[in-house]
Amino acid sequence: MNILCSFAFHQLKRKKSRTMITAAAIALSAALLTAVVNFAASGNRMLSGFLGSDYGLYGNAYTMLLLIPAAFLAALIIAMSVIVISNAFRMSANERISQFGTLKCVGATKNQIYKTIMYECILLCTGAIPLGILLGYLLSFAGIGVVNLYMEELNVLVRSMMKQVNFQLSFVFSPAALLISLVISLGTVLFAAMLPARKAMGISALDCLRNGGETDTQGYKHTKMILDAKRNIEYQLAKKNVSTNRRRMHSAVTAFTISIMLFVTMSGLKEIAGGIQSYLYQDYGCTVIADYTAKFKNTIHPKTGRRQQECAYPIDAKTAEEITEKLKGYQDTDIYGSGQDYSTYAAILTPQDLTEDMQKVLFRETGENPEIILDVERIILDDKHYREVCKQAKTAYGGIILLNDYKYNDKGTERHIAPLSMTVSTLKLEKADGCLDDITIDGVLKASEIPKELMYPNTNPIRLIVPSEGISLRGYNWMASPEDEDGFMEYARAVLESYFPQNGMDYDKAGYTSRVYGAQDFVKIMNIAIILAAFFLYAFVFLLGLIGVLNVISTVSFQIKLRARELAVLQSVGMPSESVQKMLNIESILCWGKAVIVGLPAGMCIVFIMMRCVKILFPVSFHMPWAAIIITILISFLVMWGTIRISARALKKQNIIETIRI
Amino acid sequence: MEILEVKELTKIYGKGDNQVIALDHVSFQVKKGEFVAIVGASGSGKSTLMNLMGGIDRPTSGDVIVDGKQIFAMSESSLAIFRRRNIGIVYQFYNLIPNLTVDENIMLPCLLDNRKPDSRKLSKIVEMTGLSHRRNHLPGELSGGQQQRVSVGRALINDPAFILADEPTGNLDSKAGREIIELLMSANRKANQTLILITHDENIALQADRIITISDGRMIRDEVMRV
Repeated sequence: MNILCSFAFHQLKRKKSRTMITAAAIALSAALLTAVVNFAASGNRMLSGFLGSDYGLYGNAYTMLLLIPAAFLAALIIAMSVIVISNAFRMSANERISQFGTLKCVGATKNQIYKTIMYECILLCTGAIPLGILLGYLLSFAGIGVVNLYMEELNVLVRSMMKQVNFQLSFVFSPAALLISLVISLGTVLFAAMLPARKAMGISALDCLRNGGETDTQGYKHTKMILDAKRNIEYQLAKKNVSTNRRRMHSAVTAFTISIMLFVTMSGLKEIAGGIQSYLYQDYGCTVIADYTAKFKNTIHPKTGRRQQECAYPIDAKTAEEITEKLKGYQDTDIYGSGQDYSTYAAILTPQDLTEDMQKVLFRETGENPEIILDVERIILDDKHYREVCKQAKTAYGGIILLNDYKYNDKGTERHIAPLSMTVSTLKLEKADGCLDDITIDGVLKASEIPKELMYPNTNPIRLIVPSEGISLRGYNWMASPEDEDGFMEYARAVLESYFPQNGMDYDKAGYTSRVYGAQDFVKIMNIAIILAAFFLYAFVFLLGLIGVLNVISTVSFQIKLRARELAVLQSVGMPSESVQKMLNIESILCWGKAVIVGLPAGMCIVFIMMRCVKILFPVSFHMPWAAIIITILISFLVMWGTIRISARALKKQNIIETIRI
Repeated sequence: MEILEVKELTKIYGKGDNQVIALDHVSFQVKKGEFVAIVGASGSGKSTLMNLMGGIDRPTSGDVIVDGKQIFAMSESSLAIFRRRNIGIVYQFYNLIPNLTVDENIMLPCLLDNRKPDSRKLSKIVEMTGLSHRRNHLPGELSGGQQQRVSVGRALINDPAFILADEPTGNLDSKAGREIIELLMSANRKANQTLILITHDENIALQADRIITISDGRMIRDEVMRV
């Protein structure tokens, strides 16, 4: 064996515990990188199967959707791995610095010193990277197994809403992905080892012989702190040690900081996802929804410049009513039929027509404007429920009823306001082509009086329930709470298929689609997605955190051993071993505190920023993940405290005089 | 024939008020096969001079010429290679590699050159050092005197232009110290090996052909004891 390789091999053999910890960190890093690459490959296979090899129309968007998270996770793993692995090799180089000095004196070149450390790295990689890649494949295999546990349920749900969809995540063994994992893992470890190796090769032989223990001789910083006999000496010494040796513990504190930050961020993300899920959960007062949706195209009217909607296969009110009656035929089920038209009319209003609240909202969004044009939502209901609403609004059958409620997202809080003042009794409506229609409002329902079937998430400011005669719409819903849900769903599918035959074509080709699904299916899908995302993110953060913890254990125990002489000197001048232990405990608290002081606010800031972004889109309630924050604080404290205690215990067995003589 | 030439060698540490002149324009020459003792009080600049002659440190000014080559004109890597082939260094604290056996430690300069030394030559050196029965022992299994003998063996393996020995007996008892000096002198006399010995032991210095005295970084005396 080459002499330099033999030095490296001996060093690995001599420092078994650190070799094991470093190998574990390399293996974990390779495992995580492999798992990320493999998941991207499996995702690619799934999307290719679903969308075609080029991902279809939105190919670039899907590619980004796959690559951006993979690149982000890979960058995080690489950053953490470089910090941790580099630190392990730095410690190894520090231990061997006097050996490097001797080697240099007997004629070893800089390059040979560099190679000694790099051989150590290559020897470690030879075992750890294949093991890590294998572990990565096992992780992705297990992960895909977990996904597939939910996938069938997800497919059933998705199929009931989007026909001809079959998501399947399969384990992919791709030589290209294997090569990518290998190259990235090896590159990361080699780069990490290169940093301390370059530092070690740069030190002169004389410095190696003189300093014999630290490649970084700039590690000690001056502090203004002067020891004061009146104050607790252990605390003062600990504080001085932490501030003068800050570079020695730097990597452990950094790795800890990143772990804390990631854990808090992930917990916050889960809270946000939970908030979105709660917001999307709507009680429509029904358990099954059947709907018809026609394909549409938004165009701009050439004369007026207004937006208009073109729809080839609209549903007319008569057909909708016929279907309502047919659906009622199943075990005499009550059906709530409703259809919405969002795009035919716009209302031309003056500021006086609006309530003060509505004016404030509009002026905040668009500025003051003498003529206000607001989108109108026309709603038609099945005959039975239209009659009920007319009665509730104390108007005759055939009247137009204003639903005087506007729901909007006020910086993350959902607010309901009455848009029109109660004095308004007529409205001037304009079509996209500029034709004007004056209508009379026959009745008004306030927010509290509006049926919950009509309280869906996105609504227009002006909402009118109109008589259904002669109206054709892009879509229509039939809501029901049948006793036999499965039977009703099957029956409803047959009814809709008879009216709107799909003939094996999808929405895009047929120009329309009809669906029958459980009212909470969407929430269930989201719930599955959140569970899966949480599972993977927590597993990721846990494994990445484990790399950080390995680093903390390795660094702290190394530093304690390196300071054995210093601690023995303290004991020789009369410091009891309890006081030494106390000083080390305080040091652990100070280092832990440093990591928490940076990592915790950084994580909370990221969560806060994410929450602000989400609140622009959804009025979700949000709470800081305090439980996760407390768990993070406790676990990180236990790791730091425990490592120092265990490492310091080994020192107790040492003879003070022998240690001082070393 | 001069094997070593030290020319106006100066080494200054620090700047401004903290400036320390460790070596001040020191010049001398050493002939092939000569045994030179460099003596001086603690802090006089002996070790600085040795580090500069060995090419381990670089001077503020001046030059060291070994076998006709200006060593400080070389790059760091070239100087390292030159050192392992042409200069043998013996330290007070042995500086052996703890995980290498006696044989491996002696062979180290050759191994760094990716070549295995002649086994007869290695055996001869091991025999000379009196460690034939300990060839496969690690440094930790040897006494201080034995470790220093390994260090001398390592210095001799490449037939260097000269051996630089920095207080080689400083960490040994008198018997082991005597044995080391005998070993070094035997190499000097039998193999005509140039020897430069740094010591503060007058008795050892008196055995040299020439004594150079250093004080406060300056060469204050250069006495020829025997021709």
